[in-house]
Formats: sequence, C-alpha cells, structure tokens
Amino acid sequence: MLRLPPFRYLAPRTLSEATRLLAEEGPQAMPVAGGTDLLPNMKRRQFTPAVLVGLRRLRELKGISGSPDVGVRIGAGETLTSISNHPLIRAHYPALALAAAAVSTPQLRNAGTIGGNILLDTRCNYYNQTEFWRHSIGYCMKRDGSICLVAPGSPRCWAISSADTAPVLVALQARVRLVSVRGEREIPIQELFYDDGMRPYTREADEILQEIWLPPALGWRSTYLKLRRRGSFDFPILGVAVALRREPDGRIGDARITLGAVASHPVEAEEAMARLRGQQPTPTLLQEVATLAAKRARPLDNADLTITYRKQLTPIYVRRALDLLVEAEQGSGAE
Amino acid sequence: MLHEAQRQASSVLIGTALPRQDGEAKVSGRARYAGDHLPAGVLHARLVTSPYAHAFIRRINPSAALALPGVVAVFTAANLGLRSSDGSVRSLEPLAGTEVCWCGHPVALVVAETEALAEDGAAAVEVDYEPLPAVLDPEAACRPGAPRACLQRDFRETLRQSHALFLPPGTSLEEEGLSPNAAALPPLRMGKIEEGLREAEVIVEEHYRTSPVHQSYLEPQTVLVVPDAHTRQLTIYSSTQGLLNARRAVALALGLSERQIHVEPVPVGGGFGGKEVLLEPLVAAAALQLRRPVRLVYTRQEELLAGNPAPQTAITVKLGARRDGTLTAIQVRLILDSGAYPYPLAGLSGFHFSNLYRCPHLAIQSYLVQTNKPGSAAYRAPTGPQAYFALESTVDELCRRLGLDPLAFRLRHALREGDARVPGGRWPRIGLVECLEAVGSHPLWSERERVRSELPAELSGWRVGIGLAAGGWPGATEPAAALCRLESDGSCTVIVGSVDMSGSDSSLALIAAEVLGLPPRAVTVVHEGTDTMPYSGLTAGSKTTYALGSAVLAAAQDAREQILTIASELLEAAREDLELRDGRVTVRGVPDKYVTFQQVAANSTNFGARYAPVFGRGRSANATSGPMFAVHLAKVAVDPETGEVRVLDYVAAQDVGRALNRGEVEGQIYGGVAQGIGWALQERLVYGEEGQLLTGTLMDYALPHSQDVPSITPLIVEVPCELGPFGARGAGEPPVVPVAAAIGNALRDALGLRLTELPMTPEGIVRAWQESESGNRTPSAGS
Repeated sequence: MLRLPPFRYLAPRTLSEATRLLAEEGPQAMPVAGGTDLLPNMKRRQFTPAVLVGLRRLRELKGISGSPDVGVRIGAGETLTSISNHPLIRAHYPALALAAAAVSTPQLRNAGTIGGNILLDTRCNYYNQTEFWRHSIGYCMKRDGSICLVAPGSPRCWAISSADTAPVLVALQARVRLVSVRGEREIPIQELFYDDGMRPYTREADEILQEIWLPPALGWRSTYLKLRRRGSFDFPILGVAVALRREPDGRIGDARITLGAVASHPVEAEEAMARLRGQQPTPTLLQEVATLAAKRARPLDNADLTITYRKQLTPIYVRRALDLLVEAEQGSGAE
Repeated sequence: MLHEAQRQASSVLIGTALPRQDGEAKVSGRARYAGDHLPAGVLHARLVTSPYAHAFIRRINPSAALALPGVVAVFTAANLGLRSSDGSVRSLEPLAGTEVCWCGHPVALVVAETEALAEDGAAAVEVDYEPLPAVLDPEAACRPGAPRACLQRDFRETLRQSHALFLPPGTSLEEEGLSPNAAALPPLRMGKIEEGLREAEVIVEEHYRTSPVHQSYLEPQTVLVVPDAHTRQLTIYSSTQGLLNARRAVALALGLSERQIHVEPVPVGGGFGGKEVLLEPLVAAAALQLRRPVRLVYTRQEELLAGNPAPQTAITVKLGARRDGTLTAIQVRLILDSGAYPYPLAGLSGFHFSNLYRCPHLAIQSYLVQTNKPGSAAYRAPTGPQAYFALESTVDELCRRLGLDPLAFRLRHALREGDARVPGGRWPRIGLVECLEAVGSHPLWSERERVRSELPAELSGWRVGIGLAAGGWPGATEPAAALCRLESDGSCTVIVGSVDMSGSDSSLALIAAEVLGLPPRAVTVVHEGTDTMPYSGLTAGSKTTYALGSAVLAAAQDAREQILTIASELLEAAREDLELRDGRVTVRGVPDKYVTFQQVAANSTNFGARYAPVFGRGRSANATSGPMFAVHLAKVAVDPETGEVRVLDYVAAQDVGRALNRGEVEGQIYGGVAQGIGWALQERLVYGEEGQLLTGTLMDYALPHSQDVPSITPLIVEVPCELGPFGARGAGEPPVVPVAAAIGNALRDALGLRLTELPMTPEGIVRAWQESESGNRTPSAGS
C-alpha cells in the first residue's frame, strides 16, 4: 500500500491569496492543481511537502479565449480534456489538441491541467519508483542519493522531460505568465525550462503558472506525434512537435521542430529548422531535415524501451510529422 | 458409452448462451470477495520484503516498529510458530529465515490496528543484510561457475524430496557441465532420436526465449483469518482456487487438525493458476497467536514483486523431416526458470512437445533451474504458451523450408484417436483435425491472399501477414462429488465445493436443469465451505466442468430418479411413461395428468409426509482426462520502420467436446486470446542486473489495453468426450496456448523474419528488420 505522507491542504479562493500562502509557507509548500503527477509522486516519497496549496478554485487560472488572428489565452488550470476538445485549439493549434489528448487516460485528462503537464516532474526509470525500490537500488541524486544511476560518472541528473504539451508549446512559440507576491513575469516558454533533470524549471517555489499565450496562428500548420509502448496511458518516450508556415509559392516560410522526452527539457532542432526555412519541401530535403533534427536527440537508457530504439525512431517520427504537414497542405491547397 | 441422461435429454438448454447467476452482483459491485469481509476487531498485516535478490539476514530488529502506537506484533520466521518444512513449498515457509533468495522475499509480517499503521510498522523494521551475488537468467544460471541462487539448501536435494514433482525414486537430476542450480529432469522419449535425425533430409533448429509473466487477475491475493475466541479453531476467507487445498496447507504448517480449520467459500476475482495457496499459513499463524482476526491483501506492487508468476523459459527445438514432408524427429531442450522454489509443474512441460504431431522419434530434455526470482507457478495452461510458441514457430519454419502449406502439413501429422502417446498408451478421441479443418474453411485462411491485401487506410505502408498455429492442453481430472436438493417451491439447489473462477457455475446449473427439465433460473448453485462441502479439488487444469460436472450430472440424475419414484406413485403411472418438463412430471401423451415439483416436494418434506426427501448424490472419478485442442489464425499489420504491431483480426477454433453454456465458452476464448496477446507482444517482468524488479507497477508491466485486442471470432468445435457431461471437455486453458505462435507466424508472413523472443517488442522487430535489410539475412533474430 502506498500512502500519502502527512500534509496540510490549503484552498485559497483567489490568485493573490494563493501566492500569499505560497510565500508565507515557504519552500515546504507546493501548489497542486489536478494532482495527477504530484500525488503519486508524494506516495512514492519523491516529494514530501508539508503544505499543499490547492489551485482548483482560482478563476484567474481558468478560461480559453482569443482567435487565430490575435492569439489565444489559456488558463493554466484548464484540464487537458477541455484543451483537447476546444474548437479553437483543434482548428488552429492542432498540435496542442493532439498532445493534450495523448496524455495518459481519459480519467487523468479530466483531472490533470495543462499547467500541471507543463510543470510535470522529469522522469527516469531510477527515480519514478517506490521508496522501497529506490532504497533497494541505493537512491539517485534526484532524491535522497548522491549519484546518477543512469550515468554514474555524471555530475548531473538526466531525468527526462516527459510532458506531451511542453514540446508543442515550444514549437508554437507560446509565452507563459508566472505570478508571485514579488510580482509577475511573462516569458517565452523556452525560458521556463532548464536542461537539468533535478531542477528542470525556472519557476521559483513561490510562483504560480497562471496562463499560457499562444501567438496568432494564421498561416501555420502544426502536428504532434508521440511514441510510446501502448496507445494510451503510457508516457512519451519520444514526442515530436512540428509547426510550419508556408509561403504562397510553396516554400517553407518558417519552421519549428521541437523534440520531447529526449532530454531534461524540450529540445529545439535549430539546425534542422534553419535548413528548412526558405526551401521547397522536397522528399530529399525533408529526409535531410529529419536526420539533422534527430541529432539533437541524445536519449539515455532511463525510459521505457531501449536507447537504441528511441534513437532509431527519432528521424522516422520527425520525417513522418513533416510529411503529414506538407502532404496535408498539398492535399488541401495552400492557404 | 454415453450417459443415459445424455441420450434421454432433449438438450433444449445445452449449447445456449445463458447469463451468469453471479454476473449482476459482480458487475454492480455487490459481490463480497475475501477482502470485503471486515469482522469486528480485525487487524491488518503488511509484509517487510527484501530489497536484495540474494543476501544473508544478519539480524532483524523489530523494536522501532513495536514501539509505534497501533502496531500489535512483528512476526519473523523465528516467532511465527510454523512447523519446520523442507523449503520446497513457499507457502509453508512464508518468511525467510537466514537467507533471502529473491527481491521481494518476505522477511517479516507487521500486524497493526489499521493498514496504514501496519505500513508504518513495516517501514520501521530494521533488517541487516549481507548481500550475495544473484543469478537471474535461467540460461546463465545453468553454467558451471554461476553464482548459487540459494546457498543454504541444495536445489536438487530439495527437488528429490518434493512431493509435488512426482520424481521416480533414485532420479539423479545430475548432468555433466551443469551448475548445481540446475537439475536435469527425466527425459521423455519415443523411438530413437538419432535415427529420426539421420532419416531427415531437412533439419530446422531454432532457439527461443520467453519472459516471466504475471497472471494479473483483478483481485489481488487476499487472506482473512478469524480465530475462535476460545478454541484453536480458525475460519479463513481466502482468494484461493481450492478450499480444501488451503485447509490442508494451514493444517500442515500450523500442526492443527483439518477439523480445526474452516475455509469459507467466497467469490474469487480471477486466479489463472496463480492463487493456489500462498499466504494462508502465514496469516493463520499470526491470527492464531494474536487471537484476533488478521487480514492481508496484496498491493499490485506486491503482486508483481512477490507473487508467483509463470516461468521464464529458453527452448531449443530441432525438427527433422524428409523432403516429401514426413516429420521424422522432434528434439527439444527446455530450460525452465524455477525461481527460488521448485516449480511444481515442471514435469508437465515436456509433454507439450509430444501433444500435437505424429512423429516416430522424439526426445525431450527439460532442465529446471533455480534463480533469484519468486517461485514460478501455474498460469493458464502452464508452460503451454511458451512451449507452443517454440514448437509452432519451428513447424512454420519447417513448412517454409519444405515449401509446404502449413495447414496441410499439420493436417497430415495431426494426432488422431489411437495414435501412440508419450509416455505410453493411446490417444482417445480428440478434435485436433476438426479444429484444423474449421480454420481451413474460414475465409481468413481460405481467402488469405485477398484478406492480406485488405489494410485500413491509416496503416498504409504497413505490412500484413496471416499466421496459423495450433496448441493443446491434455486436460486434467480429479474425483468430485455434488449434491442436488429439491426445494419446496419446486426449484433445485446444487451444492458443490468448487471455486468458480470462470463461470463454471452456469454450466453446472445447466447440467442439472437439463436433467431435471427445469428452467435454468430454477437451479441455484450453492458453494459450501470445507466443513460440509462435497469433495472438490483445486479449480485448475480445465477440469471443473469436466470432472465436477460429471458429479453434478450424477447428482441430478439421482434426484431425477427419486422424483420419478414419488411421481409414479402419486400419478399411479409407470415410471417409463413419465417425463420431466418445466418443473412438472407428466404422463407422456396425457398433458393434464401431472404433478408439479412443488407437489413432489410437499409429499417428501412436510410433517408426516410419506416419502423420503429428494436429495440427489453424485460422485465422479473420470479415469482419464479429456484432451483439448485449439487452432488459431491471426492477421497482423506491422510497420517495419517502427516495429509497431496491430493485431487486426483473429479466429480461434477450439474443441470443447460440447459447449454447455455457449456464452461462457466464447467468453473463455475472448479472455484467453486477450491474455495471449499480452504474452505475444507486451508482457514481461523485467529484473535489473542485481535482481530488482523494474516492472513493479501496471504502468511498467504492460498489460494489453482494450484497443490492443481485436475482434475475435470463436469457432466452436464439438468432438464429444466420452466421460465429460454431455460430451463436454474443458474450455479454459486452450485459448491462451497458440496465440504467441499465431502472431509470431503472422509476423513471419508479413516481414519474412522469425522472431524468437517473447514478448515480440517493437524494438526487437526493428532490430531484426534492419539486420535482414542490411544483407545480414539470418532467418531468425531475437527481440
């Protein structure tokens, strides 16, 4: 039986009350929204906060509004189900709808929020285990131990960014707003991430992720492909988010390719994106771009299925995502 | 010779699909399983388990746990008070003494007022270990110089003393060049294998490996033991598959008489062979000492860590044939991973290779190997999925080498009535040929060229293959008894002591209803506990309907005779002129001359009534089992670039002798195929280098999801079995047996590659595909 450690639960009604509580309680407090990631982690003692500050009642974290020509605001407390079902997102930011729909199971998508998914704790075979198991294997540096069990000589932690929506939001060039008693900041979502499995986010302990801003979508197409063992429930072992904007003459005006679950943060394939810009998307070019993008994937042996397989599948998935977008455009005629 | 009732009965009910009597309670959540019983004052137990796969226990210090409020007791092997055992059966030695031999090996039991307090207590028990080298892989464990899996007991000596294995006295188990972890079991032979291989013009040899797999029943292992306040009497509620088996084990372990132990009948949420007896003696010992009820319910992690899964195997199959397609030799080397304890079904495993085809020369050598893993146990057709995966993959390869149609080859060599059987005797009437014919005429096979070209649009670029495989299960038998009582409302109660794991109650009810001319809802099957139940063995081996059904048939016939005797006097008519229908006894041809069952009951139960109560008694001892066969067809699509596999269509032919409740038989086939897909493509318990389980949750241990299981078409074949009720054979075991082989053969058809390791994972497929693409065209590759 896995039990939650003891904690106090606070249920603020406003965002300012929530930020005040987080500030007052200090680092022993953690915010909780859907709880689908945090509570199991607490049961396994990856986290043992003395206080949980519930975000469920905060209206400031709700709502999806906007339009493809001005952009869309998404409250961080919106559930993954509401995002995957939202007509505006489905029509104009399909990669995000696909990614939200690909998270876990319907029950967890009904409870889990997009803010929680973005701030999902990084994962590793040696870390996402029970206290009993981690004890039996001698603990790792991410919690209770001193070394990395994946790469014992390494000074850093290699736990994997496993959020489906994170690479998509990077590819869509989203911005996020963080709020604390110290003030507010709005940053490009890339700046929310560190390449560090132990401390994967720049969010401070007293900050609440309030909302996500998607830029205008006109002219863009996007998609998300997820590799995992089974068609539901499982975390990604590779996520490929691609967004393309074509010029009227068919050339690629702009391209964003972001890989998930290959490092401790979502990885942008800059070289591959640069290679695509201004070019006609020929099969040869797309293959070259896929190979370039895959170079950015350096998985370690710490997730489901082997490292070799995950490496092999990266160019194939990137190529397929590119093909989908290019073919769709050619099938429907360029906008 | 068929039973009289079978000839008499018009079979209005047999073969229909009837709902289960227990269905509504289970679907609505009202069924009360062992874990749902919470008597006043119940204590909760949790295990302290070893984090090491192999270690000496230097010291166990329970004082910190005992100091916690609410912790009532901490038991270790030293103070549990069980009789000493030879170490061959885990349930009789449930806590490690001075050596732990697998990660998850229980070392202490903490009993507390609540489950949470027990968990706290378990975390506070200090155990000082001295870690030892562990050996996990059964092939590696065989090699001389491999670390010894257990140091304090000689494995071969334990095997020789174990009653479960039925080894002939004086069996050596030694073989040169074999580590003491391994035991060479007595070989199975027919003809002269050297001759068979010499005669062969084509020889195909393949090496296969399969993974350990968990039975994954819905209800976890559960035991509640309620001691009598004043006497040494124990009442037990358990998820066991055999009430008397649990009673015997507890009596043996605690040194009590069987009459002191009362095992109550409760619904069981699946077992598949994994719930014989495991934790009953442990919990009983704690309850007896504490004089309070004690309850232990496994978590899913404990199931995966400290259950008793199906064994890992490594199998080499060598087949020899002449160019004209005549099979001349079957040679098999089978390595069975015993885990830390003797695998009680080891002796059965070799027979699978002799149970499909006529072949004059046969040699099967099995090895049982001790490793630092939990002890292996039965799982639905024990070792069938592993053995037939190896055998039927190799047969498929042989057919390709010979350029023969795989169905024609199998039809030509399929065992038939009268064929010689290993180790002796002849095969009775069996339905293997009929099953092969049934799939042969199904469009998925007969029109497979067309079917192969049909692919859903979203899978364009994927390759499609169709695979065929056969499998069998020899069946089992055991004496059984049943009672049949007429109630005053004219209904009938069938009293048994079996555990209904698969819907067998509905078949038992049908048998009685058919014999008595009652609507099925007028028959209730009631389960008695060990104090009063008619004899029934373990629910296992696909024998409940076959063996206990025969006893129910006899009991119903006995009741029928008693009803006829009373009715013939009441109606003043000859017995031969009477018929039983719709709860009445009617004079044939005179519809208004009848007595109802209520009248018969009134005349045999009321105060001052003239006749003895209707109380049928049935006993059976079917001398032989009824062998079962299944032949499956799988249509799969595979993406060679990613290795993803989708099973698109599935046909399962199975000889059930006679389908009593057709709905239940089909249900068995659906469930068996679904589990087989898990074996084939997804499931494996993975252990780290030092023996820690890496797949301790259902996120890591990948069971099939609903979307992984295609539409399944059952083809029910009915070749009557002489001793089964109405000709029925068992039905539960066979549908899991051929699945991995059928899917493997379909992948071979799709990709031109032989996959030799279960599960056949995407990465294994990609690796094999790339090796074959790069010109390194070996016909086989692991996954």
